[in-house]
Amino acid sequence: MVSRRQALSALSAWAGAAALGCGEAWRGSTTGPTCGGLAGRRIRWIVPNAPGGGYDAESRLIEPFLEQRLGAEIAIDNVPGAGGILGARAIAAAVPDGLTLGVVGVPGLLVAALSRAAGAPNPASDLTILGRISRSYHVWATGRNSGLETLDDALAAAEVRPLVFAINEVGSASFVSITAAASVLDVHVEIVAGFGGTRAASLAAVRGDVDLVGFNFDTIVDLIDAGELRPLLQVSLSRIAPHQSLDGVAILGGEDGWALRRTRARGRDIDQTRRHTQALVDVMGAGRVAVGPARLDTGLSACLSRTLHETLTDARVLAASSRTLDAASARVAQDDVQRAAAEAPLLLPDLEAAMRRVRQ
Amino acid sequence: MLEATVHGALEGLWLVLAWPNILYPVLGTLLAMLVAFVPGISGATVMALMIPFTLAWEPLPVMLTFGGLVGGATFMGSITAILFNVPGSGPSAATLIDGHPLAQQGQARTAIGCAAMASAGGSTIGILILVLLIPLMRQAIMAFGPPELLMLMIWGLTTIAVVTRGAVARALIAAGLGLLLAFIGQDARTGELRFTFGWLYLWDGLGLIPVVLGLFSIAEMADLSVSGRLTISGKSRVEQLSGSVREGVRSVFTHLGLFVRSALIGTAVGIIPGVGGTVASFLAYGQAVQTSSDRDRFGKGDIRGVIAPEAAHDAKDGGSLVPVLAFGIPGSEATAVLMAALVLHGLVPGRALMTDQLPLVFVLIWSLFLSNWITSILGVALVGPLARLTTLRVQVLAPIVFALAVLGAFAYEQRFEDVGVALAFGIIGYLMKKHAWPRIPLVVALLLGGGIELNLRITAQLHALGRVDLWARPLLLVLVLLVLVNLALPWLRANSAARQEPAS
Repeated sequence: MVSRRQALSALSAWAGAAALGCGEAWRGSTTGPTCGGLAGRRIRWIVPNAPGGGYDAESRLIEPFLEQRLGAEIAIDNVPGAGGILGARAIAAAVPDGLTLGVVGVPGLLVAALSRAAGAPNPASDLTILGRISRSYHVWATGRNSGLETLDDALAAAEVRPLVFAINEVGSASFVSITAAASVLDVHVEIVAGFGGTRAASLAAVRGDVDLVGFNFDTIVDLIDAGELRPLLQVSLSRIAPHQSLDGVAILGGEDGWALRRTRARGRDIDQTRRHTQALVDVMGAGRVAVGPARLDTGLSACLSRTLHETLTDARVLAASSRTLDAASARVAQDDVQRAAAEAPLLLPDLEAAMRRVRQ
Repeated sequence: MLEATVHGALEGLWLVLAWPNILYPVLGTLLAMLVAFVPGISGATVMALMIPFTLAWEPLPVMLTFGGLVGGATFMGSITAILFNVPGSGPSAATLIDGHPLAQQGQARTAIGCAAMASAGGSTIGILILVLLIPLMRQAIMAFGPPELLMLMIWGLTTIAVVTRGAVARALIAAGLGLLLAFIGQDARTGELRFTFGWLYLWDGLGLIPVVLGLFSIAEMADLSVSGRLTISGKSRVEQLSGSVREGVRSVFTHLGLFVRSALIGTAVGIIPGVGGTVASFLAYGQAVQTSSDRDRFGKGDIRGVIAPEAAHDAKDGGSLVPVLAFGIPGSEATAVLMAALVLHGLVPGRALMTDQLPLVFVLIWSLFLSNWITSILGVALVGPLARLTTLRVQVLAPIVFALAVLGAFAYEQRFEDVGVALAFGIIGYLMKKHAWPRIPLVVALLLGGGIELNLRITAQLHALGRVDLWARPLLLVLVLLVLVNLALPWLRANSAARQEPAS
């Protein structure tokens, strides 16, 4: 028989446990003080571009929610320059104590690292991947008055003269996407670089100064919705988004994709096309990832990854975001980045050839 | 369209003035003014910091607040430029050419009063043109492609020939040095690194703010320290200062034609994405010199040298909203952050915003208008204490200004290398001033050199590909004419003066 003292003691223990559980439930799914003692500390979150850009906007979107979950202060630090390399280097060089984190764009950084551009860290080996924040596949889009209604029209025009693209800078994700896609489609392109950003380059297409631009669909969807640009090609294996402007728009990859279709028609190496297309899609699809320095403590890294993923899938964050983020856990993001890093060398010969042409 | 615009404007005005809505632009303005007083910390930084706080807000208070933030930062940089020769932002660099000499002559109150009126009036003109352009926004932006941008920037470069009189050879050498410095960094077209010596810091080239802080602020304080001058104004008591706010305000109306022309230049430049307020200010300054019959006082404290850049600088705000609202193309760092804030709140710039949410657009415009006037009125209200600073002894003031300049250089992009650049150019600026080498041509060339090269090569490439017909672009031809006039005018004037001399 249980004594009165034992019963009261058990009751107290259960009451305490229930109170703790209720407390946890009331706070929501927070990991608060368990991330290596980051609670109450100040975390430097490095954004590799100036205020106002996409990386900056996404970071400021998740900042208050991440602060709440970590119990730490997040201080966003814009470190622009060198196409994002300065910011990435600042993260890579930081002490791996969880107090310096940030966001990087994998496609551009990976290509810069592989082409050994001025100390660019390799996201696959020099940084700890904590999760994917967002990704968006590229589309080729043309101005509404260009006379090019479909990809067929563009490819037919390319038989007579090169297709002219506008981009911001050589070596950018856009440069990679256009060059590699043009290679698998076996189409001659001329790239005009130097426009002051995605919008300025898009305006060149709207104005008719160039034929096409190749950018993230999410970045130019408003111009597409306004009828200023028309998408001609989705640089992906399947439909990018359930957006009506993509109805009937050609898709690059996949067994029925235009890359293999052109390859078969021209009697080129099908396996090579398949591999290159997959490599391009994987590199571009690795997206924007949250990272910390390499050699981050395993437990701390796991905790930060879990907290970040909970934040990115929080209904409040999703409601506040103006577009679909397509976040992913650390495991998925790491696999994506490793795969992209393994396949990216396939794209290098085409990229280097394109850079040589531009420099002539 | 006209009826919708008027209706949207009135509804927007009502929303701004209603209580408690009006608190948002007022508080936004005050916040931006406070932060912008520190050199190197731009309005864009304030706006970016505000984004997380506004995530849960409705679109209306977002527009009210960010309109106030955009307008609140522009004038404060001019005050530090006038008083201490420390430009708070790039555009203020043109104001200090004549603004600081006025302060040195004990006329800080006149200079600040003039700047305040020119700012508020210029922004009013810019906003008025923005409203009038609403039906024509698309056409206005589409008219400016790389060839037009190239010519506009060359026009800006030719202002060097206009603003420097006498030491033409030295001005050209300084401009050449500025162009060389402008080419440092990665070539956007080819990806090649030029003159970086393997230093990643130089990948994006030299920042304009650290260079200007060094060439003018640090150099001036160094020169002041060794000159034996007791105070900036040469006066030790406030009562000895001359000039007044009223005189400064009146000067804008005395030179009404110049003021309106400068505001129009600022608005036009603001409409063109990627050109920026600094170019607007210098272009306006150049045309002020060019169109004046008596130009000897420019650079030595001519009030017209304050009117022109200030009117252009603030008029640019209204113009820069045109590409943002019409196409979502930011024309400056501030409008880039504004765009990010709008997008995060589901307000996507473009045709949909302009047709479906016109009252909200006008909320932004009226907030900007209100903010510019609040800034100017408060700036004038603070003239007394601010002017007093010019009577502080140099031994006290110079270290403070030097520290502000160093802080500004670091705050620019939070890199210690920028401080080093500012110090290096401080030495260069001091030596240039000591040996009567003009510094403005170097700054103008540095500012415009990169853009000229880029747009020249884009234009050449597009022309080679048969994508542009240069003769079929009327705006381009107008700009070419302006460049030729700018180049020919000094020579024509010199010839005319030479012909008149024997007669007299």
